[in-house]
Amino acid sequence: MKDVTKNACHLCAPLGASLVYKGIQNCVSVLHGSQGCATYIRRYLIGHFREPIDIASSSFTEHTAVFGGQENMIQSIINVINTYSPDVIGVATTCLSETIGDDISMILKEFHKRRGESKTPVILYTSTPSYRGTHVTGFFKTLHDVINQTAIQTEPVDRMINIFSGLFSPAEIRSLKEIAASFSLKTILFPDYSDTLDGGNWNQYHPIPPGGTPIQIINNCGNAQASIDFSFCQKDEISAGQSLFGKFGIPSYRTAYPIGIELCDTFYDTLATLSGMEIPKQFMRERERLIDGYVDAHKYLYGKRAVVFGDENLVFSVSIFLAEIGIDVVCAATGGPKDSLIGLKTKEAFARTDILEDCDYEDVEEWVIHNRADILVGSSRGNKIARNAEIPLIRCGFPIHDRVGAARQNFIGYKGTHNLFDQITNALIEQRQNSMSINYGTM
Amino acid sequence: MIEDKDKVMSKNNEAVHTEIKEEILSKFPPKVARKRDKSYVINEPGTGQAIQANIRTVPGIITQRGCTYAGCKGVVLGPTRDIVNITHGPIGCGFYSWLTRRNQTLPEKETDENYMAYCFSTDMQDENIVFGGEKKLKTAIQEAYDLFHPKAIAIFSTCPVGLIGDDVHAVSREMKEKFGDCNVFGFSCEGYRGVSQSAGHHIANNQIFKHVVGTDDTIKTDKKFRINLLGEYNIGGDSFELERIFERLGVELVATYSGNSTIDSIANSHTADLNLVMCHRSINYMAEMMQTKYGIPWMKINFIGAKASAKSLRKMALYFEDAKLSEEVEKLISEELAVVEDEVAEIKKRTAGKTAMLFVGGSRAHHYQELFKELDMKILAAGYEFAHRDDYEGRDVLPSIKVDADSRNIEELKVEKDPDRYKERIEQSKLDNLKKKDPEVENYIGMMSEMEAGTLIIDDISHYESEQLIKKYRPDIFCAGIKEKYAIQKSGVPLKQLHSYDYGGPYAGFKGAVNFYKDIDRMVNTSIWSLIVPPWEKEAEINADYISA
Ligand code: SF4
Ligand code: SF4
Repeated sequence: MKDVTKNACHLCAPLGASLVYKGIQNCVSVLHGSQGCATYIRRYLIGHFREPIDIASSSFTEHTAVFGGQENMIQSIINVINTYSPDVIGVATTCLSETIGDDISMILKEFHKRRGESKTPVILYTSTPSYRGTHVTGFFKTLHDVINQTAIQTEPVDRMINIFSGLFSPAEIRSLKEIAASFSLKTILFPDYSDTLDGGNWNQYHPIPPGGTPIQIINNCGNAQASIDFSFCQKDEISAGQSLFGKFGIPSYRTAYPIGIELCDTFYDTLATLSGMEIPKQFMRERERLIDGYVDAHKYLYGKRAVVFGDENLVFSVSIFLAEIGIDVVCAATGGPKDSLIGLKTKEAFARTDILEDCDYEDVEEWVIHNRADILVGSSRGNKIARNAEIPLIRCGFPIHDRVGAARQNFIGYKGTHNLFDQITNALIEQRQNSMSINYGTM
Repeated sequence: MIEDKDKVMSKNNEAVHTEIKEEILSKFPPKVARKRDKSYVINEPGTGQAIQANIRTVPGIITQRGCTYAGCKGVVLGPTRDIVNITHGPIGCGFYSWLTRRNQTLPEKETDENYMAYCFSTDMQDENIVFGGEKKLKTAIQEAYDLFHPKAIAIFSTCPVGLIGDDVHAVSREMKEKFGDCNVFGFSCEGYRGVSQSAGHHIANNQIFKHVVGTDDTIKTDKKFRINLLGEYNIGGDSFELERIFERLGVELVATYSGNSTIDSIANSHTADLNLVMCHRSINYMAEMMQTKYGIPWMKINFIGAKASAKSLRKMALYFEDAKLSEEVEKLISEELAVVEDEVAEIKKRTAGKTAMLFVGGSRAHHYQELFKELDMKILAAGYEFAHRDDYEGRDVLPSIKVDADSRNIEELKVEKDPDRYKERIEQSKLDNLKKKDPEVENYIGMMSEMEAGTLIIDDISHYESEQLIKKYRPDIFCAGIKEKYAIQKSGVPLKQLHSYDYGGPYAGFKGAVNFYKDIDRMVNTSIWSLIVPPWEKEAEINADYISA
């Protein structure tokens, strides 16, 4: 690991935790530490989703930092209960509270003791020091911890599955739900921030935006027949599906983000297996159209050189998709931990790809300067690289701070892939069109 | 919601405000409500009202405030382009402060040093937390030095660093000695140190004063009028507009703290003859320390608002007592104001009588009222996020502010007259005379005295409270930051970001004023707000009225 990180390609763990908590109905998250972390994380999430996001903090003082944060935590929970009347409070630690070694489960015990019989929301907690993880691992760890703390097994429910989502956009979550419903499956999708982070205007004031998976439904995860778990590039110990398998023997399908024909096929196949149904016609039509699209556009794409960067799960799937359409993934980079892209390394198609793990944007930029690339695919933080190299950047993943519509981007499933495919193809055509001396109207 | 807007706007609205306030506070536990109550004032200028400010936010109340580190690194030093700023800590703190304030900078030559687009961090890992991070910090500084050979490297401590006890100052000293040609200095600006960003401002002022100011005595031009502009951060290009104005007047801007600045200009800034202070909150310490050590007088000015800009320029001319300069200033004002007035006359037709609320920063909530007044708009309520009582009530209140544990946490530098370099810029009698004529020479009168009677003033407003205000008062525009933006807009009220300007600007000076008028016109008069209630609901309302009538 380098000693100075220049323009990091990952964010910090409690951001991922806050995102998961946004996917629970009527839930407010509280970060245990100084208030700056909560303010910064809110600012960052809001800039991406363009929606109101409330995250409370236990607001440490110097005194708290030295003597422990129990009283601050308890007070902040009480104040959140009074002002928001939530059903659930999601607590996550920050580097500071982790450094001093505050034990949240002990603090919560004390809280419940003092609270006695008063009506109290469900309180979930997770430990997310950023010196031990990124926003992506923080996301999956929180998802795992929530399921671990809440899922119970009573009576297995027929045709019910869990979908443990990844860092998808609200539009992608909506589309996942629709796809699963077309297989006549009852689905518990978690975390579901498709409404809380992509809502309409309000004619009535909402302390907490409507939407999210209700906690009672999350409890029911233990009764599912199987889990589809998108924590593909993550370690087993932070996989929610794995945890349910261990506890209740519920089979878990660790699945990559379904982008491109190959990865979508796996995903739809899994649904077909679990539902005992054939893949519905509409999806087969979407698949045909996608392949037809590939055929129509292959001449613009073949041999183009792409650099992909961002969240390891996204980089993995996007790379496989790009290789599928004839684009050379010359560099695949992530700020995620070492070996998080091991899945690419073992594939023949990426034998000549430079795979950078635990890297920062400067590493990517350096790479682009010394090697040639035609297109970049990644977060909006890559705009400096794109600008300097004068090549297009297709924005996907997190964060997207310089364009509208991040919440509506849908790049998964056959249809979503087609979307991404068109954007990439058109960007390359536009680049070519603009560089020609004659203005051709037909390309 | 208050149906009768005139009622709120009238001077006898105390009862209305009080009722609303009580309703809002009733949601808090009694102890919290009592505490919040002290941060509410229904303004009666001239009566010496006190407001509670700069105290700890209640845990669990969602505040808009940031941390000490944010104030130190993000605000005061972020805009200086040629210092390599390294955040010592885990990755998030540094990442989140990366270019988010949108300070602009324009190096003179393309090859000049500019590290603004970079975010350096030691990205601490487990083993650094357990065994200490000094070694990693040293190698990080070395790496940055080898890579860029910058003139200066600044180190910022985040919360965990304070706890594990890394000594960033010792490391900085050691590396500075080792390099010989690079000024390395550290800041103990851990997020928990203070109540808000404000503590970070103070820490930044102290360290810059200790390590940078006065390290270069050469006077590089023979210009007659040499000034510094303090507390102007070049958001959206504000500094560029002000640089244009000073250039036209032949006034040399030695240094701006810190919009579009370089470390050399700050090193040299003690040679100026006057400090103009924009944002009193973030930089008043510097003005005072420079006065004590080098004898540079300061005055509070405001370049937000065309008329306020004109007033500020006249004030500066008066200080320099130079007929030629005064003439230039008058000429410039009459030319620039003519353009501004043409523009505003047309826009005013659409904005007059509309209402605004401002909850932002430590000076902006005050300064921007000027622009709204120029648009004939009414201010209903205002407040700061991280200001102190003097920013509300004026500096006269300073002696009566209690020093609490949080303020004691921050070092007060002992500054003395510099035996060689202290120079009286203006005879004391003349300065006293200026002070008699203008209450804002070496003083700030605060926001409250300039707001109308009956307006509502709230410090450190929480998310919940601002949402309630919107619901109750429905102002035509709300000014705050991105954290409030989407919540407010969901309720059908436009929100103008005064931290980042929604990527617009500049808004300072004369050209900036025109930009602002146009932006506000667009926001309060766009047709989209009429779409928010769907036609069938509108009809339902009319029907309901009809039936009940
Ligand atoms: S850890 Fe401390 S310095 Fe970092 S963002 Fe949080 S409050 Fe600020
Ligand atoms: S201290 Fe940790 S949790 Fe807080 S902002 Fe920094 S990296 Fe994130």
